[in-house]
Parts: sequence; structure tokens; C-alpha cells
Amino acid sequence: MTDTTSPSDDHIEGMPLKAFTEKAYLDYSMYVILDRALPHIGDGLKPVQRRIVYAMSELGLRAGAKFKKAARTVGDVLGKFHPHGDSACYEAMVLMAQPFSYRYPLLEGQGNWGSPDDPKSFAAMRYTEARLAAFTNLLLEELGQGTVDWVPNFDGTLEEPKLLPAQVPHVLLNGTTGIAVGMATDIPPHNLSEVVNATIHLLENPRATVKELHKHVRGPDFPTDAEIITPANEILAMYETGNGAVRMRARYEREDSDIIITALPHQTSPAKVLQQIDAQVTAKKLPMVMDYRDESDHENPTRLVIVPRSNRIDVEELMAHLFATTDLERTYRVNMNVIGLNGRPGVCNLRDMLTDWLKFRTDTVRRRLEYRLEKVRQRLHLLDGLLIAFLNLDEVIRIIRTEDEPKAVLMKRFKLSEQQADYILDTRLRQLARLEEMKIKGEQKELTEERQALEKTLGSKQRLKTLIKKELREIVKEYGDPRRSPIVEREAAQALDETALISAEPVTIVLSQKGLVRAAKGHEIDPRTINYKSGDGYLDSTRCRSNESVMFIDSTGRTYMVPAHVLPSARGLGELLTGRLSPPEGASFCGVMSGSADQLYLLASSAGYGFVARLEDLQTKNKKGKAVLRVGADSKVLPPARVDDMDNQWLAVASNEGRLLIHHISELPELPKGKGVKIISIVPAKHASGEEYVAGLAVLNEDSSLAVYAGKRHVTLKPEDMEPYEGERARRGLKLPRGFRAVDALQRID
Amino acid sequence: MEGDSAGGSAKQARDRDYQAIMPLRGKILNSWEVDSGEVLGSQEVHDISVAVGVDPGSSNLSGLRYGKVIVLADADSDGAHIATLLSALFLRHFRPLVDDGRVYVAMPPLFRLDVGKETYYALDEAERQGIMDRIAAEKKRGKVIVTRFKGLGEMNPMQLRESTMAPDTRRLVRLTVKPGDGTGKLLDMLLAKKRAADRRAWLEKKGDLAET
Repeated sequence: MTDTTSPSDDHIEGMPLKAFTEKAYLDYSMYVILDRALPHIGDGLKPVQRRIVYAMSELGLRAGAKFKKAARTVGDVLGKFHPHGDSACYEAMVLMAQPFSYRYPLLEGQGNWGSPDDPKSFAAMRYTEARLAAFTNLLLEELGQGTVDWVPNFDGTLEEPKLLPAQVPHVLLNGTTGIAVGMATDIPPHNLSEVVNATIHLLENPRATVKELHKHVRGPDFPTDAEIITPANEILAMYETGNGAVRMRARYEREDSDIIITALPHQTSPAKVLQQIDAQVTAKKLPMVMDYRDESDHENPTRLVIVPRSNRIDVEELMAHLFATTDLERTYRVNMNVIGLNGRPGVCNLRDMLTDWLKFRTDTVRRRLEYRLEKVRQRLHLLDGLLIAFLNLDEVIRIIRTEDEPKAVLMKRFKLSEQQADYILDTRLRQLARLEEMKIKGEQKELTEERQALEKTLGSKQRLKTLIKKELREIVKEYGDPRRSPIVEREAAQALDETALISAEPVTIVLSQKGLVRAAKGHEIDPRTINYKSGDGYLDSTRCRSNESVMFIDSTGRTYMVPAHVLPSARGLGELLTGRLSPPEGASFCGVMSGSADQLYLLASSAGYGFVARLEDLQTKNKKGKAVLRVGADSKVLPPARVDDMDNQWLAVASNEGRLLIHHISELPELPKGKGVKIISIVPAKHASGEEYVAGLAVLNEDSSLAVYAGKRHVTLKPEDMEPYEGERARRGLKLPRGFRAVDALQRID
Repeated sequence: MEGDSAGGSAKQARDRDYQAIMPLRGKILNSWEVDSGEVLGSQEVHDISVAVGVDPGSSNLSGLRYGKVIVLADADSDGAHIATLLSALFLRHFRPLVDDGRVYVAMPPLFRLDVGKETYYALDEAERQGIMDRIAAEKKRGKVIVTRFKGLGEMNPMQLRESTMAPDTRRLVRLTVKPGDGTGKLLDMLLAKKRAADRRAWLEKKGDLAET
């Protein structure tokens, strides 16, 4: 690093990073806002779109012309007006040519311009060809009529129009989306007839409210036949503020028992919808669907078929579920942010937008008329001169033949202006000879009439308005089309309750000592005999149905809830519960429970305390669980025991010293949480040192037997054998026979 | 370092003894809200880190391979954006470089003057006037067309060398940060994902000051 500094540096200045960055970012932001992402209210185009359209018109690619390669257009756009990336430019061009992206495509494409399945699947620009669509005439027709300002291009060698003289409020027709810095824009497309009729209404009643305009513009109109289901009052609110959202929903029909989707929301790809349905089917969340396929072809641009499993399935419910969970229903943001006539960005409501556009249109029409008027005046002036020349033709010819400077003499002799004299001199002799008074007078009369009409129109606001109105009406007649996306009121789509979709199969949930959990099919399996990882083993299990929830209790006495159907199958070794739940650090899972909300369970600690709890009180959606059983630092939580009958069942509890106590379960209280009461007496000092603790619990019926496991041996106590151990709760209990005192577990045998 | 399409000519324009060029392809990741540990996930940032010889988030400058790290971007709006993103990257993840005064911005010419077949570049307003005067003095024919200079790719290697890279003639700006001058706050306002509303207010207040 020592030798890598440059030798001399004379031109170093210091600048705070803050100032530099702020300036740089400000320049970038304003550029993006004003010159890239937002459309202008006048013609509704972003600069790149305007340049493409203008460059194409310059290339002679107007509607009906022969197609030319897209690469030529892109080359012209970049080379002449838009010094940016070619791919971005081509993509902007493609979008304007896609009939499924633009409500009124500005270009007509030849070749692969992308498909609704994948709008970006268009061919490279060296293959595709394009020309302007007839609709684009509405943007270009008046361009050469003095209607727009021209600005130099980026290198000052050419001029480009600042705006295009749009004859319709194009900003609302095709809509636009764009993301700038600190702001974005989302304008939905609209129907030409509706928007222009609203504009006419506003022209006639400048004080019309948004509500009145909404009677004409019922809502956006997308280039798809899917339904707009946003309620009318929400659409009105959106037009009033310029902000809101529109919902679209696919349309479907029934064919026999099949469901045929015939129209998808705007910019929704059939392939993606099928993918979403496929994902649900794979996840077994759509048991009522048997088959689904894409049958789109040239006759039916969209035809997705969904075959229900049987004809008993409620199709409306199924479709409501699909609307709620897939792209068959979509929401489009609306934020009508445009560059206004003052050159500043702003969110407009419908009225402001049309009012501003009318100002723009009035200005354009006025300029067009003024330009025409100027032309007419010039022509009339020339005709005056021509008429004089005609009346004195021989004299004119003599002057031209004999005078050295015929122009000056002509001007003097006939009091002509310079232009008139030039015009006469520029006229060919042949034409001069053929001049006819009637013809000249006829043209003069025509033009004078036109001049008067123009002057009248320009002199009266009312006449100008009438003209604009008339032109707008003609445009509706020529270009207007019926609405494509019907506006329909529909009920909100409702996803099916996930648990309702799950079949209620019997399952056995098995918890291992290391906290792995799995769900075995059926209630018949013996969870002790299935495979465990080495070092791991059976801890607890419960039988339930796959649509129920399973509760777990951990070593800190917290309970947790997990739906049974999400647990992995018992064909594998299971998964760690800590993946789904977040117990406190160091805690391990001690037991599993399931059942209805009022199912009772005995919760107990190894210190000999416990209570009976209702499952309802243990439920929690919190991943961190719910504190239920209070346990001392030295105690463990025992696997919970199911209690089915508070009044008639018995509880058997054994300590590790071999003392067994059996008492009525009704002696224990039913509590929502806490430490509980003493079940069996364990000497606290011995418990603290780990010498004495509860080794097993079992809930017994009146006639059930009790198996006592002690090491490798076990003994079964029949009801009549148990009598000596019976007593009240909180006693020490009676010692078991020798050899069975090192108790590991108790189990009920029916 | 460089904007995109001028990387090759910059390489020819450098002095190989003490200048190295690293072209960047387009815009880099907005690294303002990315952890130093994760920022290397972006290929460009990784390349920058390797080229400079400093790990992101490290305060150890011993591996530094160059005396100056110079940001050279086009003088258009996208260049401004790249410069902003790079400033943020250095401030957030290579802070010691900035504190040590090693981060610079090269100021490419602002104007391009075309007279007949000849082209001149002017670094600033004063130089532009100087060139105009000289052209007038030499009575060269033709209209002088002055345009704002767009991209570095417009220049030949020799022109690039003279105008922006040779230490004798170039214009460098050292980016400085003083503790407590609010640099971090400002960049957070500019680049944080959740502060669009603040950016909007800022644009409304200062939008008129922009040059595009």
C-alpha cells in the first residue's frame, strides 16, 4: 500500500459525504419522478413510451403501414431520444403491444410478443416486428399542426415533442404503473366511451362532482373479461381521493360437473393459478378436487378446467375457497399519481384529472386552430396577390421579361408584399397561364369562410367547447367499445376452514424422550414398539383424530398446542417439537394430551403435587406456551394422565421407594392452573436431594388392573389385590412386595 | 472504480503503476439495511471488498490495497444513484475507509463542446467559457454545440485519461464525515425501506434544487 499512492494530486477538494449524497440522490429522485416513472396528465405517457411512439411515427410505421423490425424502432429511440438501456426500452415497447396488458394497445405486433401465460416470453427484438395501432392516431394525428412544444433531444441535434397532442384522456384509458423515489403510481385502465362521456359531462357542467362523473365511469375496465367485484361506494371513494384498491375475480361456468374458468384477473397467468392449486392439492388441502388442467387454445384464450371429486361437492364453496387462496381473485392498488400541467407530480381525483386534461385539450385545440388560421391567412394573402397577377397577366409577364429586378418592380407596380411577389415569381409559367378567375375566387371564398369560422371559434369559449365536444363524440363513435370487465357485486370470498378440509382419521401422537413427535395412523399401534433413534425412546402418546389439536406439557409446566394434521407421519422418526414451538431454554417436553375442550387430565409433578385440569384451560395459540403447572426447581413434570370420570375413577401413584397409594380421584381439585394439592406424601428434604420422588401414576377404573413395572420385571395387581393400598390422598402409601419396589412406571390394564 | 460500459476504456486510460479499475455492472445492492455479515452475499459487494482488501464491518485497514478508493460514475441521474449507493456502502460497511479520508468521487466533465469535427470536454462552467473563448480566438469555423456530458462511455481512452483520471488534470472530491454531522440520519432517510413518507416530504421541500 505504501507505493500505491499517486505521485501528485493538485485537484483534491473536500466535501462532506452528507452533502454529496444528498445532492446526488436528489438529482436521481427528481429525474426518476419527472422523467421516468410517472406519466404526464396530458398524453398519459411516460417519456420512454412517448419516445417510442414518436420514433415509430417518424419511421413511417403508422397504422396500416408495413411492419418493421422492433430493433429498428429501439435503435432509433435510443440513438435519437432516449440514452438508456435497450432491454428496458424494448420491454416498454412490448408492453404497449400486448393486448392482454394494454386496454387499448398502442402498437400492433407481428411475431411473438409474449403470451398471458408468461408476458415476458416475447422473442428478441431482432425477430419481432411492429407498427402503430390505429388507436395511436389519437395521440399523433395533430402532432404536425403546431399543437405541441418541441424540445431538443439529449445531444441537441434533433427535436422531439414535449408531449403528444392526445385527443382523449389517455392517462385513464391505458393506465400505468411506476415506482419512483418517495412515491409511486398505479392508474388502472378504463373504458374509452365511459371516460370520454364523463369528460363531455364535465365540459358541459364544469362544477360536476366526482359522484356525477362516477355515473359515467362506473369503474376501471381491464383488458380481461374477469369481474370487478369492488362495491360501487368503494370505487366512488377511490375516484374521490385518487387512492384505493380494485378487486378482480375470475369468471367460471359449469359444464356437466366440471368447473370451467373462462376469464382470469388482469395480468394473472393461468400457469401460475394451476401451480397454486397444485400446491394445495399436494398439501392435501383440496380433497374435493380430482383433476385440474389448462385447456386454453385459439378458440378459448382462457379455459382452466377443475374437476370436482364428486357432484355432491358444493362448487360455490370450493370456488370461494380458491378465490380467497389463489390468484383467481386479485387486488390492484390504485394511486392516481401523475405529472400535472404545472410540471409537478401529484395524486389527482377523477374530477381534477379530467379538468386538467380538458385544460390541456382546450389548449391543444386552440393551438391547432390558431395554426390553421395562420395558414389560411397566409394562403388568402397569396391568393390576393395571385388574383392581381391574373388580372394583369400580360403586364406581369412583361415585367418579368424586361426588368432586371422583377420582384421589386412587381411589388411597386401592384402594391404586393414580398411573399406575394415571391409566390408569383415561383409559379410556373404553365400554371400562370392556366389561372382562372373563378378558381381563385372560389378558393378565396372557401378560405374566407374557414377563416371566419376559425376566428369565431377562437373568439368564443362556448364555440371552442362545442367543437371539443363534437370531436370527442366522434372519437367515441369511431373508437368506443363496450366494457370488457363487468362490475358485479359479489360476496367476499371465504377460504375454507383448514380443519374442515382435513379428514378426521384416527391417529396416535407419539412423543419421544428427546422431544421428537410424530403421528401414527390408527389407534391400534403400540407406540412402545415403534423405532426410535438410538439413545431415544418412548415417552408418552395420545390417541386422537387428525382434525383435533394436540397439547404438550414441558418440564417447566407450560402447555402448548399444535394441530394434529401438521405432525409428520410415524413412518419416519418424527420431527423436533422445538421446530414448531418456542419453549424456554433448557425445557424438555414431558407429555402429550388430546381430546375435547372439557376433557380432564391429571397434571402432577414428581414432588407429589398435582391437580385435575380441563383441556380448555390449557389451550393457547402462543408458540411460547402457557404456564399451567407450577413445579419446584427440583421437581419434574410427570406425563399427564387422562381422567374420564371424576366420580368413579381411582388414582394409583407410586414412589421410587416402592410405596403405592390408591385413592379416589375426586379427592383432587379441578383447577385451571397452580401447584395443586399433595397426592402422595414425599419427604421434601429427600425430594430435594433426589432420593425420593413419584415414579409413576395411573388412573384406574373400578374394575381395571394395574401393572407395576420395576426394572425388567412387572407385576399385575387385580382389583382385589389393590385393596391394601387404598387410602386417602397425601398419605405415604404402602410398600409393594419385595422385588417390585424399584418402580419405573404404572400402567392401567383393562 | 467505474460505471458500466466505460470499464474497458478506463482500463486503457489508467496509469498501471498505481491505478486499478473495477467496473461495476449496473446498480449495486442497497446495503443500508443489510448486516455486514450478509452483505457479502451480493456479488458486486463481495468483489469490491476483495478488490479493496478490507472486510465489511471490520476496523482493520492493514489489508487495504489502494491509497484512494475513487467512485467514478456517469454524470447522469443513474450515475448519481450509483454514487449514492456506493457512498452508503462505504459509510455503513467500510466506515474506517471513510474516516481515514480514503473515499473519493471523481468529477467527470460536465460539458461536451462540439465544434465542427472536434470535441472538447469542460470540467466546469469556467473551463467551458475558457474553451469557448479559445475557439473564438482561433476563429474556428462552425457552430459550437454545448451539451451536458452524459456517460463516460462517450469518451476515448485518451480523453478519459486527461479529463478524469490523470492526477495532474483530474478533479477529485474527498468525501468526509465529521462525528455528529447527521450523515447517518440523512442516509437513513434516503435509503431506509420504511421511510418513504419522509423521503416524500424531503422531495417536496427540496425538489426544486435538483439538476437534471
